[in-house]
Amino acid sequence: MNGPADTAPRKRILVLDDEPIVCKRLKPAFQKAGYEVEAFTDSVQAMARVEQEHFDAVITDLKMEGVDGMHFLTRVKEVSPDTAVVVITGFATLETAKESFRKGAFDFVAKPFKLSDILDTVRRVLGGESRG
Amino acid sequence: MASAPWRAKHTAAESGPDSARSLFHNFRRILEQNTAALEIMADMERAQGGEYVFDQTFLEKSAHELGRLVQRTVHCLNGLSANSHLDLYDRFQEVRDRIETILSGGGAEATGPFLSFDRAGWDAEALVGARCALLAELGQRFGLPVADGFALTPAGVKAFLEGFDLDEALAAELRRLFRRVGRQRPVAVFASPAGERDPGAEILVSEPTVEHVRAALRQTLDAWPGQGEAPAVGLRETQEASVRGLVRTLAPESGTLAVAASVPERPGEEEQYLVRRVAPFTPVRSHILAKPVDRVLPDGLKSLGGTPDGAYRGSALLPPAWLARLAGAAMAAERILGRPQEIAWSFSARGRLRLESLRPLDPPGDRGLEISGDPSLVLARGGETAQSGAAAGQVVHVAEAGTGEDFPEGAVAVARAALPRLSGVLRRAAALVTETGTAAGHLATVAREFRVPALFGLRGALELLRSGETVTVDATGRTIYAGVLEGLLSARTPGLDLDPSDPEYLLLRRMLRHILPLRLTDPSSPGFRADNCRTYHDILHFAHEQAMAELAHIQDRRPGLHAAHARRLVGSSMDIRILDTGGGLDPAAGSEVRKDQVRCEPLRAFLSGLDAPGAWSSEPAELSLRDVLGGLGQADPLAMDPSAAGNLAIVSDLSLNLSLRLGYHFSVVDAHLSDAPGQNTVYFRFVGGLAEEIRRQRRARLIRIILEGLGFLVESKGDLVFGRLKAASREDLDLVLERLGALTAFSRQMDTAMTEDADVQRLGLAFLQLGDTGGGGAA
Repeated sequence: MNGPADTAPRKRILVLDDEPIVCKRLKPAFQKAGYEVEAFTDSVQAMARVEQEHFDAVITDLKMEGVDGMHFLTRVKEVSPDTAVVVITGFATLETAKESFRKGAFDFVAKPFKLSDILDTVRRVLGGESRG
Repeated sequence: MASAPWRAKHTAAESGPDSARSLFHNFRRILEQNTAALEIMADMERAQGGEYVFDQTFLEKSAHELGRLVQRTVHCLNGLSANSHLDLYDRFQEVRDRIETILSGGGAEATGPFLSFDRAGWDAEALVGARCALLAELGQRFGLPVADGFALTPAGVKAFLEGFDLDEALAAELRRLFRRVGRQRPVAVFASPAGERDPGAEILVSEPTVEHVRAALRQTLDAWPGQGEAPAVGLRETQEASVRGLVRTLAPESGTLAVAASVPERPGEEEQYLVRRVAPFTPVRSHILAKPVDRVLPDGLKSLGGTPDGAYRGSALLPPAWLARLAGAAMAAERILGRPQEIAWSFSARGRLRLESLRPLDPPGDRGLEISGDPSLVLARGGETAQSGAAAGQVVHVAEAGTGEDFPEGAVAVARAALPRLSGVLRRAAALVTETGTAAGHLATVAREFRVPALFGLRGALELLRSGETVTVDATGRTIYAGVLEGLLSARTPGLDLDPSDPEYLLLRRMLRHILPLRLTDPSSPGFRADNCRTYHDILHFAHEQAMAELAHIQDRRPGLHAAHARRLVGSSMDIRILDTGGGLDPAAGSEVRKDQVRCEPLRAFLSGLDAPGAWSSEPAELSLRDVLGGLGQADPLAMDPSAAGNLAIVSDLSLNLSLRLGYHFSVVDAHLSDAPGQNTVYFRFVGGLAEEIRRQRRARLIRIILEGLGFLVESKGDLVFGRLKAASREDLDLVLERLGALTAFSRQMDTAMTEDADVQRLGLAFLQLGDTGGGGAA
């Protein structure tokens, strides 16, 4: 198994992207890797969940219809400072990457990305088994 | 719109270094835009491969950026060629409009009631449904033995259901189909819905009259469940099968192909074969039923009948050659479609194979992410992945002049250079390895289109991978192993993440139809014209080739270039004048330039070969009176024109356009170097000298051999020989330019050295071997 050990409680991940295809792809991939996953295309609902529940990692798009991903990132870190945030974006610039890191993002992944890359990133941040 | 004439003639004001600089600048821009565009195309293709996560925004952004780059390329080409290619703007506009239409959710153009498979493909999915599109694509584009046919389009279905009389159109479409497949055959009619929806059962029409086919169409539409819109309906040829069955390209329990076969008269008596997924596709296990010795088997022989090689035929329904052909076609389908397939197939008594329908299988389960082969089996490592994946097979060295038509199915192709003409090899090869070339080149795009694992730029590949040896190419891991590594092959089986029913995938796939395919591959063919550009790739490739040809001719077309501004090179064995367009010479250089003041990298490389000790024979070339008489009136007029006499190098720091008139020979070297291999090009043209016909032919053949040995794509017409070398590293091209310098010195003497045909090959190889210490051997 590639994910966390079966005896430990499953790590929880929240995915936010306004494009359904991204949620559709990421959710089963993380589930298969042994994580508990909730995926949202609506940032208001996602924020409400973050305020209700603790997530070990949040994966969020940066540029979404009507929502500022940077704002979402800031709010997540305010509500839950130990939640690791991974930013995914199709508009990667050095500036946005820097700003994400300044606001506490753990990593910054440009779209399109490989499933295996984002799985590796999350394993690194959550300290799961590295590979294999 | 400007009122100035489009095809303005070159004026004196365009003859100075500014004009040359502008030409170089435009050419450089074309190369840069070409590379940037090919990289975006590669990203889009990778996304199609399924391991990437992407969204609609990515598709829109990629399409717009690509459109911008292609448009600018067309603009630069026209800037470079005095607007000789204005019609390319129209082609660009057409392609861009189609892509924009697809992005905005349209694209199912109005059409007649029927669309035949030879005009359909994935981009016509909205018109013919998924199943027809798949058959059309595999058969027409990829050349697999797939059933031909046609579809009743949504417009046709509507007309049909509303009671319009389509009989005449149907009769005409049936006639066209039977003409394509050679004769009237029974047909099968089936629903062809969009996406992955189950199309249901087929209706067989043994006597394909208009009445019977019409009835089958009606029955198919009546049987379509639900209230939704009726699907397109497909009709495909069938054949009188002597044996038929199903093949699964990957049986999880055995890791092999699994073939089930039976004869039509005994459908319950099924034989099974497990076949290796690697050419030559040998069976590892089979379950063959006992039969009476006198039973005639599907190929018309009896089990104790003799085969051409003197053996008994045996009682298996499928003879080994048929089984191997079926396996090869099935594996090609899996590779192209990106996941394992279940395929219905049939053979006629004469051995005509048809794949009749395909269904994707669930991808293999979790195979782990850590993949490595046994280090002791490593034959070669390195290169650049042009298409990921792994495949095994026997190594076949591809001759530079080979086009792949006769390449053995399922073999591993190893070639010196990643030349566009190897596209044919990619139709048949299991994997492709080249010594030079990059993932940004045209051939890499073709490899991705065909999903053939490909590793480019692997130095020494021809030497490291011996012809006939069985190897496993792990293009993803950039490693080649001895033997067949089943575990590795299984781990690299495609399809882990692909979900072809997602709207984004369908959208990407449809867009790529107008972006990726490269149909204009041969610049020497009469069809290599702007009006034949159908995709962005066609336009980019066409522009690149035209720009190279334009630069190769600038000194013919703008003969005043050297008049006012050129400086004389001193200390070389040839009298060369240099026109610097920027950075090509030491700023301190005066009207006479020493070799150490040349900053232009390609010229320095060329001169080092030209002036190498021993490159020149001190003996004068031996010309007979017959040579002189034979050559007069045939030699290139420029070579004979005193006003054009002299050697001119137009240079910048990394570009060179050199025209040489060496005795009676005339050659052009055009080279552009950078650190991005995808942008690097060298063009070499050699045209006749004064000699009798037979010597001129020998010389052309010799130059061809040498250029091909150096990795050029070569064409010759009479005694004109020209070669192009693209997408190689800067260091490789420096070596090539040095060899071209040596060739220039060598060529002056070669006529007299070749007194008979056998000398051509001998001299060519001798020349190549002289340079082998640096450049590697010829294929």
